[in-house]
Amino acid sequence: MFNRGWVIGGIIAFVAAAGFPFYWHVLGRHEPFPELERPKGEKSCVEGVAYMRTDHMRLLHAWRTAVVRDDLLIYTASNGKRFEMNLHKTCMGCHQSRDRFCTRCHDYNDVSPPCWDCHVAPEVPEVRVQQSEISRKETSDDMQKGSPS
Amino acid sequence: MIEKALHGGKSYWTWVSLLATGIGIGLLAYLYQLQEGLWVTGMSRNVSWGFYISQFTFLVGVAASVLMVVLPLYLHNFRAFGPIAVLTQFLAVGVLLMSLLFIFSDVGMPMRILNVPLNPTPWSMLFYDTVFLPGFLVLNLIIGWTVLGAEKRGSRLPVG
Amino acid sequence: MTLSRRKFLKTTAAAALTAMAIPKAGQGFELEGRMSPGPKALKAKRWGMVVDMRRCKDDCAGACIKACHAVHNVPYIPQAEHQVMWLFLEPYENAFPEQSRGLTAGTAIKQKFLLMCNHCEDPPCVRACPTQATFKRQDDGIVMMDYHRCIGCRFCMAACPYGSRSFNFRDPRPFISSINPGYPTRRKGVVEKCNFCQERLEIGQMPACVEVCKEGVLTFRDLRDPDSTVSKILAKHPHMRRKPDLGTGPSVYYVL
Repeated sequence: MFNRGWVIGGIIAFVAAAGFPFYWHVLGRHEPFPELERPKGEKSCVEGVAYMRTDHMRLLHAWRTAVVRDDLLIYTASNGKRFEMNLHKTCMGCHQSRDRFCTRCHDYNDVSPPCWDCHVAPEVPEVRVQQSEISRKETSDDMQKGSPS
Repeated sequence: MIEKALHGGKSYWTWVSLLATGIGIGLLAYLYQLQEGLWVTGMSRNVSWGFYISQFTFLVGVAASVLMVVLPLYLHNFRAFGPIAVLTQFLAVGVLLMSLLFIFSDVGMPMRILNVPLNPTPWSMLFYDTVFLPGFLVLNLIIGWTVLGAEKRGSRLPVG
Repeated sequence: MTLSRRKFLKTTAAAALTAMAIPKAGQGFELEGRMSPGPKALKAKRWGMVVDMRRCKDDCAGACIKACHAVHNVPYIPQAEHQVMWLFLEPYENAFPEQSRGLTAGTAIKQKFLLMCNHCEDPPCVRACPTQATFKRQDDGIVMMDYHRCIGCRFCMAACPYGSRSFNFRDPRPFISSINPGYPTRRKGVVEKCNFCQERLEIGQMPACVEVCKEGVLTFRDLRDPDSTVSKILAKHPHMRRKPDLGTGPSVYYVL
């Protein structure tokens, strides 16, 4: 075999790097599961809690396809309860915080779904910043190009 | 055969590092565009497609011209084109890689590029570009590599 | 290594069959509940808009545009070349370039025309889109954008003959003066346009521009219904559509 040292050393280095997620859990610090802010007085989400925990992303994906592409609006859950398929009104109507619910668990699981790139979270600190960057001169010409008030 | 690329004189390595610097600058520029949005390219409402797409169409044309050399050789056994077949096929590999990268850098949501093959849309031209060009790229790599290997061993071309 | 052609073909076929047999990830998911349309949703065979330019006055200062852009979180970007517009004004020559005669008369023609997505019968943008992120709804003819799917290739912008589509060349959020939380913003890298207020129709509301216009310029009804207000107006008054010779079949009509 050519370059025995390099080849074997390379294989060992590769396995060490590629196997990182497997032994890190044993060697690294195990973080406690974060505390999530749950809506008070509610026993069940749109569907059962266990189902929502494992499948909420698939449910939301089905919802968004139905609303955007299939002109549907109402979701009738397996227990007969009816919900409007709307992240803002239905989901965030109960879970009143993105940061203390969604983000905590997503951070723990190291996933970053891009929902809030477009959907407006209950806490949007960035909404009213950079007003100064927008020149506010409301000339009639601006108006015709469609400036908001 | 790849080990051939790892040996060369001083001028060879100067050339390679020059090219690598160019690639590095391009990569940094792309990361800047990814961060800021496509406005940094100077494209606008009125000029919604710019150099990216014109480069892409030009390079696809170059890739298609490769067929002018390899089809007479492979299909009609026109042996006079044999010596330049390898060159043209690897030219095709290069330009196809570039044209695909030009599409990739032109779209606003590059991480969603797989939506194109996942939602097959036969009435859209861009669908054919993004689905058939990688196929043409793979064909050129396999055939070009085979022909190059045959030439290195001094054996007859495995065609005709 | 020798590999007969027969063996090569056999192995390839076996590999392809195995690959097809592996179920796709996430395919096992089934919804536990059912989905249905909104009970109050406004329905039409083909939604259409009539813009009565005789009634359109300048003194409302573009109230319909403001309402539309506020409801849909359309950003106001100062640089004209990166602006995002759902509803906008253009002079007659730009709205109807093939019909400008140089010496046109009449008050309506001196006014700026209210332009929006025409929600064409045969939309060129839908043909161009490589992912079906923009599509025409079969039940009411609204040309929709699926912002979750758009890859931002801007093919639809090149295809649209009316300039109704805007690309988010930069992050729009800093340019929205006050966000309407009930409707999502867009993000940089996707194309957007007027959606005939589909999100309002499905909860039983008329489009924002129609609702806010006090002069009765805008009428929004079913074009396929011969007794609807739009059909009656169009039967009575001479009207025009933008670039009819292209065969796109716009759903927005202008009465002069």
